[in-house]
Amino acid sequence: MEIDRRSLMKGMLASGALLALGPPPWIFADSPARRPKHCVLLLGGADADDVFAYGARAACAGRTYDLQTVTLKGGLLAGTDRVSKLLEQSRGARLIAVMDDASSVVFLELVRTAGVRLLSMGTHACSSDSSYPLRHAWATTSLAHSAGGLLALHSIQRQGSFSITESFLQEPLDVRAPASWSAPGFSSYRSGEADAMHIHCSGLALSDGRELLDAGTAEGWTPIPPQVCEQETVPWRSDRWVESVGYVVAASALDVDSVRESCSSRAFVHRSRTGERVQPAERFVSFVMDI
Amino acid sequence: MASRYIALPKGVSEKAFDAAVEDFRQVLGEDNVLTSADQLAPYTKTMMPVAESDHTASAAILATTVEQIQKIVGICNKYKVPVWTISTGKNLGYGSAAPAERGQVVLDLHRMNRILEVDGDLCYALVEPGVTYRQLYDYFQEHKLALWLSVPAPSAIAGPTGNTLDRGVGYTPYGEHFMNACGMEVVLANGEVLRTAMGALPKSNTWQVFKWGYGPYLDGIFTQSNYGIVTKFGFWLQPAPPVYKPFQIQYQNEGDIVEIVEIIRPLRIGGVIPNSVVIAHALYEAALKAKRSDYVSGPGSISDEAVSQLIRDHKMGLWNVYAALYGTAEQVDVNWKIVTEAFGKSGKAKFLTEQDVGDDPQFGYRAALMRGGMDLREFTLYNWRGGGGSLWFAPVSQARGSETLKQMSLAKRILAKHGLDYSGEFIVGMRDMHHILDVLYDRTEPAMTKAAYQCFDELVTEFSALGYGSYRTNTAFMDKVADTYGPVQRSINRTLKKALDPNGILAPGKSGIRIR
Repeated sequence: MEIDRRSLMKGMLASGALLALGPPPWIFADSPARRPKHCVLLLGGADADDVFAYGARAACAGRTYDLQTVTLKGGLLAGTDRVSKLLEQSRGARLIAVMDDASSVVFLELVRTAGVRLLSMGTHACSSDSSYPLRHAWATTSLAHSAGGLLALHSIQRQGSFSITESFLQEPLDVRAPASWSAPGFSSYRSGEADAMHIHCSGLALSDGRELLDAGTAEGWTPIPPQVCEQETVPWRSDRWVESVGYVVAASALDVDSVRESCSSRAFVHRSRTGERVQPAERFVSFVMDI
Repeated sequence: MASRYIALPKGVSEKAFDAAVEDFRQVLGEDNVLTSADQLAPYTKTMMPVAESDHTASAAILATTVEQIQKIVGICNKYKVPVWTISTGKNLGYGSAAPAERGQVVLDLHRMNRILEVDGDLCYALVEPGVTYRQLYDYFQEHKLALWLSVPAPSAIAGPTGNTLDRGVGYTPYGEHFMNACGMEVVLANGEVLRTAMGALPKSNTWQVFKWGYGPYLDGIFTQSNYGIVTKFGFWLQPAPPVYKPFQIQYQNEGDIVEIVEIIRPLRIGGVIPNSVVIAHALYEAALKAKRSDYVSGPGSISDEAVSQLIRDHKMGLWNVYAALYGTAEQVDVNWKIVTEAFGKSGKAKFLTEQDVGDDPQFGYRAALMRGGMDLREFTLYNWRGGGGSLWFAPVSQARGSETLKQMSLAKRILAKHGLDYSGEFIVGMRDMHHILDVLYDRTEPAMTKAAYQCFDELVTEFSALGYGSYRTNTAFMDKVADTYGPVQRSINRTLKKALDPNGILAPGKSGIRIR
């Protein structure tokens, strides 16, 4: 007895979806310049869903992309069938997703099984158990999909300390390009190691930033001269940090240009001098991927 | 010039790896050899407090046949490229799908997912490694087979081959999964295919019914090891009982666990309670009902007072005992009387059955798992602290009440020292207990991430010094745990490795086993 119906069904569904949507633009090429024909926003049942979606929609406003929203009632842990089908039937789409921590773990497993290309995964937290109440940690495939610089500019507008870290799986292809990010109030540094890290500090010294991030030794750090720096602009603002995250995640998903630093990881750290703004505890995980 | 790969195997040049990748593509086809960063990112994410760059794969390759795997090991031997095999890769909190060492090639067998045989009379199945529990569950429903699975917490998305090979457990009477394994097919590092025990006879029909065969019993050396690639796996299934009665017993004080275990042991060994009994601390299940931030502000572990408040607010036990009775109505009635009398003597126990709890999620997911149902809600515990950090610590002890308090107080002390909560449960097998702790931490917080690493290291050190060995561990601590079992065991494991895999191409580092 040999049974392989499930695979057969999967194949039929996937080929059906392809016929319906047409072949995705990046299916035969592996270029970082892939642009999606349409985007899907998956709200996975996190408390942050609605506010995140406001920000994501703001980033999409005025663009040619069609942003389809899918809401997962009851969350992913109540059942995985709907997400599995969504992944099968949305071939060719770029997916932006927001989940709670628990659902994100299972979601990533479904994503791998579905053969999805994962562009970034961000863990976002606002909590009182840290000296930096707002924290964002991104694992990003390449500099092309980074969102940290834009989020730093959004976050600096609000009261309160924050930290943003980004690690890039793909090394910069052109290490000769000395580009670096800058913004008023930030001082920028580069580690001298082969896989360079950049730290951008505001309101604190490099040594404090390094200590906070548990980032390497004290030696080998050099300031990044302003002439190699580029600035990003903030075309839209929100007072709500979750909404800002929704905006920058969607902006990165839509390939909005950001300053692409020549580094394998980077961090933005800001210490507020005017006290912390009390905000409710909130946690969620964001994803950007090509299905 | 940056490499075209996100990582390279240790000691392998880019040129040699190019050639290996090209050979993999010849065997598997272009689409089944993944080397780009966005394809490999889902294979890289772990929940461990170490840099993900330590566990970054150089490539992932997807095989669907035994013949392909035989060719793959040939290529790996030729270029000395190590492969890290996963079946479904759902080893959450133990390393997920990421390889043990940077640069290893992930051999992903999730598409090798045929259910080869299910025998409803003899109650067994033979499957390929990518078959998930959900596939089998659906198959039983579709074919109206009165068979039950035994599943671990990732249930639907995980599969029997990987879980059993890592010696995972479930919650039904068949919950000790390796005990219910029967027959394997294994591709060895030299490309030969071994069928264990009765499977070695070409015309045998007893491969899935008699484990031992003739001569040394070999199946065990292919679990928690790297001596071969299991491509077919047989295991036994539980016939669906006419009556199933799950129940919960709540206790309100930490010290009550001594009484609980002393009552359970004779019921387990005597067969009155046939499944592994779970004794879950309130914090293991709290996230189903509450947020940590409602009870804790600021750094440090949660206080005992806050835990007391939590269990009052949500009508939880501090200890929550879960077990079930299976059989005919008469058998279940008799055993229920024995259970209630045994637990009722002291007056501390509060019994809850399905009729008492309605749709309570805490009871609901346990009841589903104890019948081999598909339910992922146990992972809600990842919302308790949040931040994506999880390390399972799994020391084994005797099933004695005195062991529980000793282990719990030691664990609580070490966790509190590092500012972390005790989220644990004891699972009473027959004569043993698995003490399962999830060291939950926030990966957005570098200081807490560092503390989690130190905490886990200290847990392994202190528990093993008292004779409590871990039955399983994550890929960042495999060498450390292997060391606790002593140099002779490590040496024998290495001797076997050199004999069976002289180039060390199969999952080097798994359980601390390498050729040198």
